[in-house]
Amino acid sequence: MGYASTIKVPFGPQHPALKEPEHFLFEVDGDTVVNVTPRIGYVHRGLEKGFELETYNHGLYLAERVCGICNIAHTVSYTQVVEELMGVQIPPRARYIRTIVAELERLQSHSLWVGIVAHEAGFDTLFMYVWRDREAIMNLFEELTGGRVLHAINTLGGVRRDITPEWETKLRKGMDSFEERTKDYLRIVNSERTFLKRTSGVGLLSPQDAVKLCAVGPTLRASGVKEDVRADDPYIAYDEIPFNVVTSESGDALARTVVRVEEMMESIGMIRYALDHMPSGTIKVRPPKIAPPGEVLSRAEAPRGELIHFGRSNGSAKPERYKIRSPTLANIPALCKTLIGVHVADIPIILAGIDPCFSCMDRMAIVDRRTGEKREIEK
Amino acid sequence: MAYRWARRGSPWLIHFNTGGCNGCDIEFVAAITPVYDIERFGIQLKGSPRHADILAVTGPVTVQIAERLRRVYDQMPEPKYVVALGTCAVSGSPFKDCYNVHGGIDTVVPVDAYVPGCPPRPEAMIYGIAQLLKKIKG
Amino acid sequence: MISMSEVIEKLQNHLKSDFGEGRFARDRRIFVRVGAGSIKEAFRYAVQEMGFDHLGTITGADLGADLEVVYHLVERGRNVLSLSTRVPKEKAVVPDVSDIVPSAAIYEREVRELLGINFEGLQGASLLLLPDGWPDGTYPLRKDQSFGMLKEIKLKKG
Repeated sequence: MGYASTIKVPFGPQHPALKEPEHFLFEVDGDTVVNVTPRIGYVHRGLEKGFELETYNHGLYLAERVCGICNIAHTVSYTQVVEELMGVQIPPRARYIRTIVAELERLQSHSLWVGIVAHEAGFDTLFMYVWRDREAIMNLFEELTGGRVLHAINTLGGVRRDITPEWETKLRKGMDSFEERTKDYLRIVNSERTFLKRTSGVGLLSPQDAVKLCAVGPTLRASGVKEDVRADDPYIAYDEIPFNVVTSESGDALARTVVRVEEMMESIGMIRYALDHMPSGTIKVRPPKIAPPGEVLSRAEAPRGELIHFGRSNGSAKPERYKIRSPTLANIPALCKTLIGVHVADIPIILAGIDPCFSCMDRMAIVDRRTGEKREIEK
Repeated sequence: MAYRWARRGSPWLIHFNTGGCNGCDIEFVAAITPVYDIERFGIQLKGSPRHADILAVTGPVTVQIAERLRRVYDQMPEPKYVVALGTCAVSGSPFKDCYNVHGGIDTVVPVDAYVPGCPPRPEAMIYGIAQLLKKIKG
Repeated sequence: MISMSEVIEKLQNHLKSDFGEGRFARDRRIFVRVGAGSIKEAFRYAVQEMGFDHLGTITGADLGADLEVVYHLVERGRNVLSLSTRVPKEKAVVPDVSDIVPSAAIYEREVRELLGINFEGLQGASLLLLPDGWPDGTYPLRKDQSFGMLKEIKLKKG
């Protein structure tokens, strides 16, 4: 079959295309990838053990730092688990504020991703433009929460800071201008010929494979499967805010881009709706220190897909067991499937296609070893 | 003296993440973008350690990556400098006691500048690197 | 579309004596525990005949004398079933289910590395999550592993 003539190309952990260290060993036959062996665990920090040793309040800081880009999804999930374990109901205004911040995070994450994918495709101009526009969202975050990247706005029992009328005005203006820019990006990714050449038909994932390999998030939706935790299993205020679940039929890197940009448009609409229907009242209730014994599973739609937090309490002030499964890990089998048979030059775009966040993944990572091979690569 | 001036004039940077949460990394990438624009200092981001003068490291060093960090550092030609970006790279906290984390990057490589913050703003990173450049100038 | 209590009933009727207990504390969350001998059949039944074909993840836990494996299965667009079983620590063996759902392999390998549960039939023996050279038989998420002990390993490796 010609495997004797394949070359093994190590990719990472230090690589200009990777912002995070992971290792992929590609076996290539000429210019075509015939096999890929991921070796993950470079970002494994041992967080789940850390949760067990500290109180629920301390765990909030750990949960936030699982991933800088989707930290709000993690803190929303964490607070949901702990609040349900403790039997705490947060006020309606807090639910809406959490939703607004979560959708702002989706905007920030998706625009970050569009920039990165443009950069991988060689379209640095778009990367610079998008990241310049993204600064507007970072500034909005900073004004509301005090932090650009890690916000610490979610706390056990509600949110830490309230939305002021001044900030609301700024947010609305910011959304108006960001919406104009997003419409531009949509036009660009759908019509810019070099970008289309690099992404159209690249990294195909059929809907059957996506479902069989349990893919999640935009990767799944770009293959035509209409699933979104915000619609299927609503949490915070998503049961009260109307929105469309965006899908695409082509299942390639272009579809993944278009799905994310259109999701950005949806998020802008959701933020406006939430502002228009914001309930009044308090933003926080005081939680107890102790959670009675129980177990809770919480799902959230992080920008990258379905995020699962599973917590168990034992009647003390510290969790018994806390488990996080991030969307990137769920997408690894689908990723490996899409990498077989592609050109080497397409590898960064396909890798970027699942919007990998290896720090989310590794805090508890494993490798899909269908080939049963282990390779010592750096030696 | 002449080469010190030249070194300071266009330091080339390589970025390496040793297991961080990405917060520092995205602020670092933001430093390259038009709003903060680190290139006006002559700084260029390079892909290979063999082309770089300054190694910018983020993340608490996980056990798996410690050896790779050392190897990346060793591949850089002299003179070379290291900047620790972010509280994790500076000291490892809040993961310092986790079972797969060594701590700050100075457990593996010598560090010339520390930029604390969780994550540090792009301006803070630029300030840290500018301080390092001043130090190079002597 | 079947209700949560019907889900529990169907599993109970299918597994008969090996069914442990089933409950739900709120909507869309079902928790069922079954005997270790029937876990694979329960898994297969839920995935292939009850429509819970999206595997969210597999959690392992140290309960003291026993180790527990929980399979979190999602019925697309509806309920989440957390199907669990317990095995004694001295003989922590559970069948591998990746022939039914391929993604299970990833999650099983994580549980195996961090808790030492043996998934019978799981391909690939090497340590790929924890760092190269991590000592065999040391499972970080077990309760008897204190941070002090793990720190020793970390320092020795570093």
